[in-house]
Amino acid sequence: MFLDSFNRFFFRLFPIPKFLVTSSFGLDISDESLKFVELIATNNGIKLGKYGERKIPIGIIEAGKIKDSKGLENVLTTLRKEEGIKFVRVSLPEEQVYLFKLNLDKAGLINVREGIELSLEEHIPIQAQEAIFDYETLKEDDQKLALQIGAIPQNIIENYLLVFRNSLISVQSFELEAQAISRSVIKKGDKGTYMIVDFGRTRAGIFIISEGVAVFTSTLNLGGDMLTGMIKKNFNVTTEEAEQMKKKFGLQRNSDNREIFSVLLNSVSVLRDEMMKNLLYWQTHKDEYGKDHPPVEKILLTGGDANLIGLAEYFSISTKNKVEVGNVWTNITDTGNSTPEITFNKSLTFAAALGLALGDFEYD
Amino acid sequence: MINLIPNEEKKKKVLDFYFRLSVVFLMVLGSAMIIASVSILPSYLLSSVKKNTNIAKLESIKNTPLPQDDQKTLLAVSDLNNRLTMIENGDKNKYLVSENVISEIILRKMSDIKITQISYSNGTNQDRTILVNGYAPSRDRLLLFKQALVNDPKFKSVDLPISNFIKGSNISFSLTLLAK
Repeated sequence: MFLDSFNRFFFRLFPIPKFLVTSSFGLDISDESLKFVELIATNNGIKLGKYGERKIPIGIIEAGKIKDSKGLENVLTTLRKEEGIKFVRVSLPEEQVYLFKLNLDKAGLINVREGIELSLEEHIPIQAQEAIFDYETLKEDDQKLALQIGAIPQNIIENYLLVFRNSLISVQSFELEAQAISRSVIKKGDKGTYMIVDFGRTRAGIFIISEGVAVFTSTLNLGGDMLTGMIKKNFNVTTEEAEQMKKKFGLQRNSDNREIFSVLLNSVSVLRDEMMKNLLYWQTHKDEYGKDHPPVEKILLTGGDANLIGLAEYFSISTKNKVEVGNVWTNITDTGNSTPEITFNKSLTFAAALGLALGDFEYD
Repeated sequence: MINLIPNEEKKKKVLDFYFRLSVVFLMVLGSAMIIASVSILPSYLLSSVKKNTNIAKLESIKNTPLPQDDQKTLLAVSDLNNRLTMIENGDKNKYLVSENVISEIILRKMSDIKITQISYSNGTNQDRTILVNGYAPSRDRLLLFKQALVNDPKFKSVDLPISNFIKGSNISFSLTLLAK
């Protein structure tokens, strides 16, 4: 506590030279868009710097895999020239990352990484030599080491690295989307258990964060665009009109909205079922020490369509859990004293990018 | 925090950081040296000019001939120094010879011979005369003492006048020695 205060005081008087800090942008890449955010350390805390979104033409990235390297290079080169991006922290698509728990016996264990490498193939369908992995310690006692492992095929990372290298952008980290989002919506130091539902345009990610670590992730090919598409199809309106109807009525259940409600409910209930399945799995399975997992305290919604009218209430009633829309500024700025430039609704789409940019302010 | 960047890239990042740190250190060092040089430059120039002026002055003073009075004073001082050195050297060796002579006489003396006085004087031609007065219990003992001194190579001559043998016992004698 005293050390923290001293550090804050010291670095306020003697800030680290910018040349050394390599302030990096958070870069959230999805199949159709690329979101970037820069956070700047000031004497009054962390402030929002440059931010924005660029469209990625369809076909360049599919399900997280780069299909057209040149196309992505062009997008990134333009971004570097326009925004002056030199260093980035990038989120990886959940579909490509394997996340699992591993218990290692301490007896005879010399190197943790070697220990993981030996048992990697028992947990993921790729060879250890062809995988890139990293770990986070969950628990440790005299005999055992409980680890959370993240692994990804080497070729995917190399493809991303090559594209960034050719675009003259240096990658500081490749992180899990779940990890990045949790860093922006869960208060730093909060060791509680939360479920985060990232309701994006094309897909929805469901993550469980416990003791600050992403311990469970799953992805569903259901997003805001699908809801808009269903309204468009059912009411025979244009995409813009369907989008407006979705935002105006959402999941409100009243006489004017009865038809839209039932149309949206079909899709949203699929997401609810997936959430329930994951919740059930979490609550019924034991942890690595044979104990019950801590109960999920709250479900946090992020993503562009998280603010859909009535969505939080619907999930709350149907899952019998506390559900609220996440505040992506939790660890960045005191919204009671200063107002960020981005609107609250818009900021929900930048949850991952903001969380990535926050990585600069934590130990790597 | 799980960071799925390859290990080689992580190492590169660390190297890159140290490279940047070195650059910052060198830049800070360079800036400090430039600032120090600039701030010290006026003082350096000023002291350099003063030094050159003083050297020139000293040279001109050295080259100026001394006045007559000063030359006399210098000669007097030099003469005085020589004299003082001589006195100091003489003072250092003042008792050296006499001590040696007295020690030699006492060494040769028998226990029953009493010496009452020894006088030492530097004569001309660097001759040193020693006069020894005392009492001997008998003529034989006195003669023995004289013989011991004669045998001593440190003495050139030993003079014991015959008048010293008038008395048969408890003889008051007076010996004259000439040291080498």
